[in-house]
Amino acid sequence: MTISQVVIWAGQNHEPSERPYEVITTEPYVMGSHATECGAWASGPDDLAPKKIEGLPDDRRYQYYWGYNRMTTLDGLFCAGDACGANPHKFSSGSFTEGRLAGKSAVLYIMDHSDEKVEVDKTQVDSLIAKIMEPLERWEKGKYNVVTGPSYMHPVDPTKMYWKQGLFRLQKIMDECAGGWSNYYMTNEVMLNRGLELLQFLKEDFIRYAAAQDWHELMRIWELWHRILTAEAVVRHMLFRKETRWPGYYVRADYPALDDDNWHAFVNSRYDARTGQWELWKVPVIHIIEFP
Amino acid sequence: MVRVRYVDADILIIGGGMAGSGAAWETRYWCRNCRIVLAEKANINRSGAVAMGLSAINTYLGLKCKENTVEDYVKYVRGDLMGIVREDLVYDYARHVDSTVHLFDEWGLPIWPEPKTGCYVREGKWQIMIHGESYKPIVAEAARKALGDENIFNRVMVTHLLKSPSNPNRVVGAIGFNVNDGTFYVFRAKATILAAGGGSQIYRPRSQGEGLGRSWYPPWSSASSYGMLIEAGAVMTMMEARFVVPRFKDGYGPVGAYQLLLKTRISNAYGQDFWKPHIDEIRKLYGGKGNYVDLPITPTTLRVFAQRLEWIAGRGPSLMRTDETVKKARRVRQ
Ligand SMILES: Cc1cc2nc3c(=O)[nH]c(=O)nc-3n(C[C@H](O)[C@H](O)[C@H](O)COP(=O)(O)OP(=O)(O)OC[C@H]3O[C@@H](n4cnc5c(N)ncnc54)[C@H](O)[C@@H]3O)c2cc1C
Repeated sequence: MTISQVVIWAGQNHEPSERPYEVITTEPYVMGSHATECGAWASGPDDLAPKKIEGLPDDRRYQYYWGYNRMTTLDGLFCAGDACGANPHKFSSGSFTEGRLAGKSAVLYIMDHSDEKVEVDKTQVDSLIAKIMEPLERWEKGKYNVVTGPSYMHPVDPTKMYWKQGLFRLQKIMDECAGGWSNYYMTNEVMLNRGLELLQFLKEDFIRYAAAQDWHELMRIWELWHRILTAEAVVRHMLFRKETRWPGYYVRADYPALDDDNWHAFVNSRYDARTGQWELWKVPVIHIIEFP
Repeated sequence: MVRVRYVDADILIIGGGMAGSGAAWETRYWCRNCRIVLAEKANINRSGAVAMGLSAINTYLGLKCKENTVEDYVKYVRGDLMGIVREDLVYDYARHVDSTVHLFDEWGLPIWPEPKTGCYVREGKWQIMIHGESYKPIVAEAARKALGDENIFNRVMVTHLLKSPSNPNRVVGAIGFNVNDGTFYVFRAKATILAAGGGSQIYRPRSQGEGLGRSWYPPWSSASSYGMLIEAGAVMTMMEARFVVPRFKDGYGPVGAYQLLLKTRISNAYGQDFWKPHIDEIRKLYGGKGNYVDLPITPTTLRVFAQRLEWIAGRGPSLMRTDETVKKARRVRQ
């Protein structure tokens, strides 16, 4: 038994042989390695992946295979473990295994591209560094605008957003709009659209106000950015799938039943950072093992 | 003043958890003379979701003992996800996963042996029992030896992927900074393996002020994998399938050993079964083309849903009946 659980039991005078203990469902997590399958759309292995699926565009967005096992739709980028989508139940051993599969495939890729020169644009790097540093500079420049002294959370400050403030705001939006525990994991189109609207405000505020007092907080700030982008993808996907496929995980109360006629399909998406536009589409599930 | 360090490599691995460690080990196996570097925001010895150890390895088929077949495994996983998985990808890791576990065994992870058969003690059909407190340090040691400690960049938080200036579809490395001293790292790599784990703390956790940050998936799982993929324009899949797990309240201790190994039942608050009263309704709504409700192993999502119907009806909480299966430990005489 895990130490943290035993400590709770000991602290509550709980004797498991005498009394049962409560079991409850957690808040939702976004994962690709446990009993679910969020993540990157990747190429399959050449001996198993269906090749050139008939009737679908010859495009990585729809196909299952483009040469290198576990390569994402971006050249030279591989995924493994939680990062890799549509193949759940890896857990610890399977995640290590998928790392091995991606690793072998990456070696093959660099062998095939050994004469290719890797170039990085110096101006791109410099502007990225400036962007990553901005929350620290915002704090340096504005630290005398703080309204109250440091509290246990963060200073009260009308011109800055510290990581914990942004994180709590994100968590509230997702919990209340996108099927968190406070709503018994239920949602509908109205709630999801509202969530999306609130996420846009959060993104705007992050870009304008994110602040960090030291390197550690700067890590927290960029973790927050990764979480916000992920949250937006989650909400857009939940909006797109007009059915309830996994009622224990969330219920789309406006489409409360499973609908295999229309939704026996993957939902894929792509975000274009330059235009800020998202695209979502369905990809059919190809069964290589007899179904059902 | 910003200090910037450029690091050139053949392969960059982002994240030194289970998947990143596997990538480190395997890339070195196939390429002895490559430069392979790994960036990890914590310290690889105790980083990631396995940091505090595990009590079971959840995926082990037992092919050499003929315990299962890969086909049966794919069917099980597909059923648990209500019909939608990439079967090519699942089949692929499943056919190789036993060899990974045998490596862990060789490296010193204490897996419960089954002396009579020479196999492992089963927790459940797919799970085996381990003494797993040191699981991560054992696995990390293999990764460290494969790459050499000079190629492991601990305390480096990676924030963005880098693209080729001439080809917007080509990833050529990543950028990040050391969270202790602020040095920026620009990794230029021919291939990049993203293994930065999953995402917790995106939804409001059940534990608030009294236990802030306490969650089942660890609070340091920052969704960096997805954030970086999305921003770089990679195609994402199944992001709606964010999920919840039923666990012991507040401590989030594993329930597998009780349910699978000790065959402990879960009841509602009054000791009654939570499943049978709802099965007809659930079959009607979620039976689907795959007859998901009547699969040999009922999908977790449906069992969880039935329990929730009990809670909403005011017959919660769910109770793990350890009182029926756990024997009281004998007191040591003083
Ligand atoms: C409480 C709990 C119980 C579990 N029980 C079991 C079990 O009994 N059996 C089982 O087999 N599995 C179990 N699992 C699942 C298993 O731990 C995961 O499936 C597995 O660890 C996922 O591997 P991964 O490499 O994708 O992620 P992780 O192992 O989490 O590794 C991700 C790594 O990336 C690093 N990282 C993240 N962001 C960045 C960044 N921006 N820059 C640099 N580095 C970064 C992290 O620090 C971490 O080291 C459990 C998990 C938890 C949390």
